[in-house]
Amino acid sequence: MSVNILKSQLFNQFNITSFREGQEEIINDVMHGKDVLGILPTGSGKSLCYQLPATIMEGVTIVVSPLISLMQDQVKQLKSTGFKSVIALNSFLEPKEKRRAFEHLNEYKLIYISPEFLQQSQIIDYLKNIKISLFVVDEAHCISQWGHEFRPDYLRLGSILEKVNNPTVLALSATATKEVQEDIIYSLNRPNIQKHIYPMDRENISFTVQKVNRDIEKKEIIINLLKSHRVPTLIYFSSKRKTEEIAAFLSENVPSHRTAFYHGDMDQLDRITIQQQFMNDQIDVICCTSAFGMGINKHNIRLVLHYHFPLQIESYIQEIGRAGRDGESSVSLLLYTSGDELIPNAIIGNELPSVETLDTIFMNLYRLYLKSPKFLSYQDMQEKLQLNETEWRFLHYQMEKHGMIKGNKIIYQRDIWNKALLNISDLIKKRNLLKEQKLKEIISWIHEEECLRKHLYKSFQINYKSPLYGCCSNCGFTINEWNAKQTEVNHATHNWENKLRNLLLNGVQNG
Amino acid sequence: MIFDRIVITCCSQLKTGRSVSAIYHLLKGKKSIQTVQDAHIYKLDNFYGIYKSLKKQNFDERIDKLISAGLVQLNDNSSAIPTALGNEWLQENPNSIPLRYFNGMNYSSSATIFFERLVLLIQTISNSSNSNLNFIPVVDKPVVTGWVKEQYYVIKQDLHYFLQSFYDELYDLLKCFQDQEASMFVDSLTGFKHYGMSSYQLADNYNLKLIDVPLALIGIIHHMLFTIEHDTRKYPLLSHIKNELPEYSNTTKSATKTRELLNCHYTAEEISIMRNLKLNTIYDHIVEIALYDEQFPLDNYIDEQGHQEVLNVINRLKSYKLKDIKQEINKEISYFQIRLVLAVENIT
Repeated sequence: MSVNILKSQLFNQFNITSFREGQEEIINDVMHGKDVLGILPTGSGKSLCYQLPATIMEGVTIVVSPLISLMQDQVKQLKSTGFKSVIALNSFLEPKEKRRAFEHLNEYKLIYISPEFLQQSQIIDYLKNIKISLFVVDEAHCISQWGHEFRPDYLRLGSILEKVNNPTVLALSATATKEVQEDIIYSLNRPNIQKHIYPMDRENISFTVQKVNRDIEKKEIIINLLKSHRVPTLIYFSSKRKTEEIAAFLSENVPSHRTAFYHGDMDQLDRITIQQQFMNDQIDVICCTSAFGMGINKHNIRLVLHYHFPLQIESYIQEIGRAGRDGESSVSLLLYTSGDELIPNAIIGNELPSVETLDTIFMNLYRLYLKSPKFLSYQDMQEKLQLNETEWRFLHYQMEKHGMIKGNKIIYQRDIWNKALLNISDLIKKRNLLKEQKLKEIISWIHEEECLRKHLYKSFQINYKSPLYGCCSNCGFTINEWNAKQTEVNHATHNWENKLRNLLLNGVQNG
Repeated sequence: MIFDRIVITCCSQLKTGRSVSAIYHLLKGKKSIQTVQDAHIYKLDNFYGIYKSLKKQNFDERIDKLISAGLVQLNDNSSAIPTALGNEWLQENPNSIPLRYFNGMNYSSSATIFFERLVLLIQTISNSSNSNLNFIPVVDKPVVTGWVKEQYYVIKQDLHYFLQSFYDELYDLLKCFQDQEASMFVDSLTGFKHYGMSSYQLADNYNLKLIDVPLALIGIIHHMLFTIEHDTRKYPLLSHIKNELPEYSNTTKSATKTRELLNCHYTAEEISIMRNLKLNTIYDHIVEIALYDEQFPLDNYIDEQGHQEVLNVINRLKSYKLKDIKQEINKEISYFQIRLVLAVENIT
């Protein structure tokens, strides 16, 4: 594939004139059939690395991605640019749509698929019969037990690759330590994978951490900061309720700014509305959970605040990475008050079934076995065992691995069950311990007295570029000295007659 | 407020006759014979199906609030009636959207699709008049996008002419509304480089409760449909959007099939065997048919004497409750026959 064809396709399909760091190298390799592990920082345009080849290559590009709602948003965005032969396969699909999609699978160029969905033997049978030109593992760090977002489903990807005739693989992640990289390569069974690892430090972002004594001081700081800076701003929270609460509080106390909230419980139309308004500068500040961000290509986000800190350094790096994609000076401010660490502790505790309840779950499973060893479905089992989705996803994989269940059937052997109980308890303890370590890591970063930049990136890379603007609050940068271009706002309030005129007749007048 | 008003109004019509969940089914527009019949008997047809996106949880929460605020009072049979305070509240609090706007029985099936077409058409022509055809559609249902695509093929022949005439019509139509209502409607629209307000933002800007936003919009749309219908010459383009709505008959599909068989002179028993459905299901269908068919042959099911007797008992009891009526009436008259009389009486 000549460079010119790539570039002209880049412009025709995506309206982009040049590649960013790493993109061209990765695209060239996958188009030559080489397996690639790409570690590219957030905001560097990872998705282009498979979207562009998908439009050119013969056959279908499969993308495994764990975030269903974002998958749907991406499909919508691609369709809006005129790339129509794209679909998202996930559990939200109506049976009718699903059947139609399956029957026409080879007519798509790009298929997003959730890891759960990929577990169905039916879909594997369909995939066997089409030509897969590229198999993309997005958020590849999910494959690693040492990764911060381990997903048991991802462990099965290695065997799935074999079943679908070993297509070319592209594994992508924004944050993966050496250890996690090794895990990815091992699990996918691609020892000769081509590595493209790019540094993730951001030279145009200044880091600040501010410790306060009480929650109310966080609010005061935010009010003052927003009053003096009207720039595109994200404020991250760890609870959905809090995004709504603070958004209302800011609307009242900083009425000059247009504030909205965003979280995963909103319906798709409202989510897209908020994203698009933010893109069009109709909104200044978004109070959000970690659900906001992926697939957002806003280049001038200037300020990323953390009202609550995330569970690990990796998430923090991704979230602040949404700032300043245009290269202009941008700031991250993390607000901390003692007691904040209780929230992530509670979240960690809820992610896996607790060791204490494991006994009961096994007992219940045994009772079900005595009644009838067969189940209707995966969901049926989940309901009967009264587990939530993440708990069941984890346990189902483990029980299958230990030979306690096979397909929809329970297999009882006392020794095996006893051994499984021990192993799974151990695993839960290890997972929790790992997460606690991750948590300690970010807490100690917050309390770091040396350069924040240096310590933020130390587990990922040896060096970092010297900052273009202020470095960090430990190196003497304060947010008061920060000068950023302010959003200009048209203050004229319009009556509905004018608004309707703008909506319908503006183009005619201009044109 | 709109929601509360509607619920209290429903309570005062239903009295002790129905439980509060009947109000939920009414607002959701449940296609059951019971709900449709309730709407007719208790004169609540205007609220039928006006809140299809309502969630049971939100409904229950609001009811609990009304009860704890002392505006309605819950009875033992879980029906609810407005308290004196509730009635006073109804008088004192003028509504932001007049309840007379609502006409659920006529428009519940067409309002949503009319609105979605309108919104997507506006987004499409606003963008295309700015030479932009890459946008994320705010509505992505294939029935709506397909329709808009077809229209756009015709419109784009003379886009500027269309925009001007369409603007004029919408302007005239919105002039029939209060400024506040027109403004809220326009703020919900999306166009070139401008995304309409989400329900949260509308609530915020117009001082509404979140639960009231869909109701306010639906009320406005019902009144739009009504206005267009009564002056189709003034609104040719909007009439076109409205008229091309896919046909929705008020009767359910299954009832329609039963009617076809009845028209071929099969009996209810025969139809039940032919369709492999319970006899009671067929009875439900017949009651549903009776509700809408002004020519329904009631004589085939109950004689004149029985018909009169049912009416007498209703008058005496001042109740429409089937159980009460059945207890007071000649044992030979069945529930099915009573329901048929009720259905026929309420439209003639």
